Order: sequence, then C-alpha cells, then structure tokens
Amino acid sequence: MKTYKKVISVSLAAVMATGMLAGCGKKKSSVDENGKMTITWLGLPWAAGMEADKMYAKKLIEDKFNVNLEIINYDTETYANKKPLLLSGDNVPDIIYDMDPSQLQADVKQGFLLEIPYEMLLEKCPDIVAEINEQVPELWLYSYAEGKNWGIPNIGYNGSDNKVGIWRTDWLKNVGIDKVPETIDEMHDALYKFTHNDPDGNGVKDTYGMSGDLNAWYMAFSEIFCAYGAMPFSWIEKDGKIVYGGLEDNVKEVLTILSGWYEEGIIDPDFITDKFNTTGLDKIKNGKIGYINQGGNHKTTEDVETSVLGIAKQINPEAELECAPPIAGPDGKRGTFAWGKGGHVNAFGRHLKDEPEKLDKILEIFEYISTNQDFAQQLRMGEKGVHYELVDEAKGYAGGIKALPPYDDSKEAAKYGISTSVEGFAFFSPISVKQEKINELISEEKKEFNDKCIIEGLGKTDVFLKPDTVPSASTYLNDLRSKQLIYVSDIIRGVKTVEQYDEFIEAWNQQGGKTMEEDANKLFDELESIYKQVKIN
Amino acid sequence: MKTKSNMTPKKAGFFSQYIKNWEVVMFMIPGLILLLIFAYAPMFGLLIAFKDYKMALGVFESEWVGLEHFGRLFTGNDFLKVLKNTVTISFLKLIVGFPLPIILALMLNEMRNAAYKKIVQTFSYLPHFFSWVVMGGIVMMLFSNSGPVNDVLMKFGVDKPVSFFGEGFWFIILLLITSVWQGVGWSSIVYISALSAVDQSLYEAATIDGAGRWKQTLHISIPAILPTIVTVLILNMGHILNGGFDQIFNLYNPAVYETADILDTYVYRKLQTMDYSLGTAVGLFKSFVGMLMVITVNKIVKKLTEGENSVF
Repeated sequence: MKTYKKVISVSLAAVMATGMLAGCGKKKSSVDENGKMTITWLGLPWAAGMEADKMYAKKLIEDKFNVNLEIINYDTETYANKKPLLLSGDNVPDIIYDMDPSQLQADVKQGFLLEIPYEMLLEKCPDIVAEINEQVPELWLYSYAEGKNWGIPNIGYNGSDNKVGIWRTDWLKNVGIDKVPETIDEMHDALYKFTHNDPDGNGVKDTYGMSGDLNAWYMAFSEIFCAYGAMPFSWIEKDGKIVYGGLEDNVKEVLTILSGWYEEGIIDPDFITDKFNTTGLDKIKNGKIGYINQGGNHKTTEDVETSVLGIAKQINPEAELECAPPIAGPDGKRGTFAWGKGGHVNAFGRHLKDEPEKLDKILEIFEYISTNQDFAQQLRMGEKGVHYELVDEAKGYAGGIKALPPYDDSKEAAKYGISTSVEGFAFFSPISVKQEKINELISEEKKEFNDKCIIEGLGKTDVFLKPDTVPSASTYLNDLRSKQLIYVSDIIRGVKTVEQYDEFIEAWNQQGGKTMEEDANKLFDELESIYKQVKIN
Repeated sequence: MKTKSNMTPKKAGFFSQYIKNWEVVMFMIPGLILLLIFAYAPMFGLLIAFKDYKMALGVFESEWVGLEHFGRLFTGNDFLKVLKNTVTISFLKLIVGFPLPIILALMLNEMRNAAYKKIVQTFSYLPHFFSWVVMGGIVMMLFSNSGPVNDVLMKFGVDKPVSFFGEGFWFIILLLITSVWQGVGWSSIVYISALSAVDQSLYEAATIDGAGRWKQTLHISIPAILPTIVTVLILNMGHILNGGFDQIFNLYNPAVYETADILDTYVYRKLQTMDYSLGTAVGLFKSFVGMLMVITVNKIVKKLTEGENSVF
C-alpha cells in the first residue's frame, strides 16, 4: 500500500508541473500587414443575440474608418463573470465599456485603465465634451476616480424621464370615479375603493388598490415619496451640504401614510415580492390591483395583442387602462426617482499608452459619431429601404417606422444589432444619439404619450445621478440600503413602528454612513474643479 | 522513525513497483488530472485571502495583508446574526432533508410495479435540474398571498393568507419545503443504488423465516444501506455553512432579511466589484468549518460503530 501512495505523489508532481508551464499567451500585434489597425471592443453587454459576422454597425465603422473591429460581446451575466478575467489577462480590450461609476472605480483601483486627461478630450473630442457640459455636467463623475478622468461617459437622454402610473380606468368607472386621480387624496380615495368596493364586480373581495416593488429601491413607492419631497435612497443637497435623503423627516412622514394605507388594505401584501415590470404588471393585467407605478407605455399600435392593455383585454374584455404622470402631494410636489441622463462609461485599456495612434483613432471615431448624427442614427437603425421603411411616407418619421423583412423578426434583427429605435444604448453607441435627433425621429404615438405623461423636471435625480458614485459607497451603501429596506418594509406592514426608523438612522451613523457623507461632500466639492477643467463656467 | 537499513530496499521496491504496475498508473492519470485541475490547482488561489489582490499584479505580486480580510469579515456589523441564520437554516435542512430521501428510497424499493417506480423516480428527480432562477419565479407565484397555495389554505378555513414571504418563520418553512421538493429525488439515487446491491437471497431467507415487509426493511434494507447513510451524513456535514445561496437569493426580500440572510447572501451584498480577497477569505472560512465538522462527526461515528462505518 505504502508504495502505491508514493507512486501517486510522484505522478501528482509531474502533472502539476505541466499544468503550471501552460497558460501564458502572447499579445498579438494590433496592426496587420496592410497597416490596418485592429481595435478590440468590449461593448454594452445587452446584445446577447448579436452575431459578430452579421453586425451591421461593425461593418459600417470598419469601412468608414478603415479599421478592423474585434468584438467582445457578452450578455449581462457573462459580462459580470468574465470581464475581470479578460482584463487581468494578456489581451485587454482597447475599449472597455463600464456600466457604473463604481465599476470604473474598481477597474482604476485594479490598474486596468488608461487616464484620459480632460485637456486631451477638449482637444480631440470638443463636441462630446460640449454636449456633456450642456446636458448633464455631473456625468463627468462617471469617468472620475482618484482625482483623474479615465474615460468618456455617454448620455442616456430619456433617463431623466419620470416614471408613469398605470390605472385601471374601467375600475375607476365601476367605483364611480370619472377621472384619473391627480392628487394624493384622490389617489387614496380611488385605491381605497379598489380594495373595498369590489371594482371588478365579481362579488368577492379579492382586489387591492396597488402594489409596489421593494426589490428595486429606485422604484419603491417612489411617486409617493416624491409627492412629499422625499428622496429616501438618494444623496440630496440641503443648505449647500450633501446629505442622505433617507435620514430626512419627510421619509417618516411618507412611511406613516403608507403604513396607514397598508392597514386599510390598500397595498397588496405581495408588495414585498412583486416586481414592477413583471409580477406587478401581471397583476394589473389580471385585475388583482388597480394601479402600479412603472416605466413604459401600456399600449402600442405596433403590437396591440401583446401590450399590457392587449393582454388585460384578453383576460377581461372590459379592461381599460390609462397612463398618468406622478400624482401631486399636499404642497403640489410630485415626481419619481430617475437615474438622470447618466449612462455608462467608455474606458480604455492601459496598454493604449504605448499605442497613441490607436487611441487617437478611437477618439476620432467617437467624435465623428457625436458630430454626425445621421451616422449615429444609421449605427442604430441601419439603412432606410434596407432595414426599415416609413409606415407613411407623407408623414415622415412621425408616422412611425416599420422594420423590413427579415429584420421585422426581433430575433433576426438582434443578430444584426439593428433596432427601430435610437433611444437608450446599444453595443455600438459609445456616444448616444442626441436629443434633437430623437425628436426628429419620434413617432406621433410616442410623442402623444410623452406629452401626456412625461413632464420636464419630474424625474428626480440624485446629486451624483447614481448614489453609488460616492467612492466609499461600494463598501457601505449596499448593506445599509438593505437595512433601510427592512425598516421600510416592516414599518409599512406594521411590524415596526415609525419611531423605530430611528434605529436605522442610528445604524447608518455607526456603520459607515458618516464616512460616506464626508466622501459625498468631498466629491461634491471636487465637482467644481472638474467643471473648471472641462471649461464649464 | 525508520532505520537506514530499512530505507534502501524500500526505495528499490518503489521504483520497481512503479514500473511493474504501469498499467495501473495509466488508469489513475485521468482521475488525477481532474483532481489536480479542479481541486488542487485552485488552492494556490487561497493565497489571495491573505493579500490585497490586484488582478493586474497577479497572485504572487500582490501585497500581503495578513488576516485583514478575515478581520473585515468577522467584525462586519451583522456577522454573528448571519452566521446564526446560516447554521440554523442548514441544520433544519439537514434534519428535514436528510431522512426523507432514505424513506423515499426504501418506499421505492418496496415498489413492485417497475414502470410506476420509474415514473415516480423521474418526476422526483426533475426539480433538481431546474435552476433556482426559474424555480424562484414558480415558487413566488405558488406561495404568494394571492397564490394557489393560500387559496387552498383559505378553503380549508385559514382566515388570513399565510405570508410565506413576509414572516421569518413561514419563510424558513418555505425554504424547507422547496429544498426538499428540489432535492429529495436526486438525493435518493445513491440509496436506491445501494439497495439494489443487496443480496436478494437475504429477503428470500427472511420470508421463509416469516418476516413481513416491515421486518425485512428494518433488519435487511436499513442495515444494508447504513454505511451509505453514514457516509452521506458525514459528507453533508462539510456543507454546514452553505445555507443554499441560489435558493435564498432568488426567494428572499427585505421583509425576511432578519431571518434568511445567510453568510453567502451577506457576502454577496458586501462583495463589491472585484473584491476577490474577501470572497476567498469567506470561502476558506467555510471550508475550514466544514472540515472541522467532517472530522468531528467522523470521529463520533468511528467511536459509535467501532471503526466500521467511518469514512476515514
């Protein structure tokens, strides 16, 4: 027996040695024999279905700028798992798309990124800088870490839109209310009747006024908090200082109201598990609740059958829905939390320090997209007549856009990375399509919805856009916010009293909140010096 | 200590054994490679639990920080609460979830209709292959306040829906129910295979002696699979600090953090982008406790059965 054990150990050692020798790759040259540059590009990880050899935008950029693009296309999950491995290996991509300021800060801390000084941006990308300065100057914080700039943030123009409420108008009619509630009192009245006056007329008390979403703090009763001017999960400016909105008295005021509503049976007890865009929305369709605060439109002419209203009508032909802007509080305050016009960040691999021509090329491409909005549109939508056409030639884009086959199949369109919309972000939107262009392309239907429900200034944002932008937030905020949500949920459900919210405030002060607050104020001061460097007066 | 004179012949023996048994050595290699790649090689990575790991620098170049990450873990605000939750949940899962597969296996063993047995087996395995992301959605729908489970309970005279997702007690019950549902079929496989190896003549002899089905189970089936049961128990002890991350993460919500927050979910919230050192420190801590449990339980078993059923 003993000898066998030795045999094993020797074999072990042998195999171990081979294992350790393997695994060192070589960095390949990024310029081919024709002098064509190859740019490796880790883009937005939301386009899982896209196929590298079919991508329309890739060809467009390659032809236009005489470069080769090597695409690294992850889905959201692989991105989270594989990006760190990718960055720590030998083949660090040239363009690294970071989703969050906190991610960028971590990448900087790990030493993966190249500093992009503001002067360089002012010189090479004046249009991009000007657009950020004008639209959303706080966005410079997204590419900011350790006192320096590390990339180019992009703008999400619709990010500052307020969320909209969806009402079951057939229920409103059934309980004798003839207009969609506009104030908090009207809302309470309607929701109370939804629970107690059998709005679906089935003789059983099986309905609730509303549900919420506690898992997404940015949605959690956001419209009601904002009606009282509360921003429970954001950094706010108060008398020239930055404080955490969750510590303000108005949060307790709203919690008192919500716990009262819960006691009256207005709030569906499932609010702790419901998700605003899935199960919560299903409840509207199924006729379990009569109101929910959520993101998009409820009906579209394009896919009538599968829209929220379409499905609700299949369940109950009487169903009617209407979207409404946020309700107004006692002092006329209203709004919902919004991420703001901040998007993500294009960062650059550190090795580009030795390849300045390549960095120049990339900056040139970015600036070109920013200054040539037709090109930006083409990157997203493809060519008119090939990928899409106008529904009504006479009306222009206002009449709507129709995808041409085979791109009318959403799966097929995804392979090519083509979409019928230019809003938001895509793999090849390092620089987003600007608002003027979006306005040019908007359909009448969408415009009608926007005019009715999206009101300028009602999307309430954090001073830093994302609360996690504060550097020490990555250490403390997640944990403290979970704690805060425990108190919010327990107080609403009557498990804890409103006074016990002070326990959270105490925990906040003891467990890192103070540090974050100091950091937040420091960051706020640094914002001034950033503004000076990018030439904002 | 061995004397020198003993060593020399041994050494010669070693090499000759190596060559003489080369076929056996060849057989070993694939298994060894797997073991090395997936079990031993990653152990190098444990170093980063003691370092300020920077990926760009690599494991060896990163700076040593001693036990800092363990300090961060143990002095974390809710560490003790979370540890308690983890141990509670996994012990409850063990108490409920350990005997049930054995009972299922014994019951299936008594089944005479082979086709029916196969169907039951297949259906009981099935949930094992569902990911918790999917299961989470199903369970939330079934057990929500307005879901079918509560509808049935209300029909049976429960006056108010049971808040499975809102109260710690019921949430734990829910965790137990769903983990049994998911795991019972799969865990029973090992017992079923152990039972199939039992010599059928033993049952025949027992029947002749007048033993009924119950006595046969008690005196033949159970003793026959006892070594398997003990082995599985000892190995399960190693997982005592795994409360089941996937399951809890996909089911929990702020209302039950107090009771359902386990070590893994806690670290998940603390673990910010690329804080691998902390993650590794937690993994090492869990493995260490797991190993202690395995050794202890193994010792106890060894004492109780006089060395017969222990794993090592």
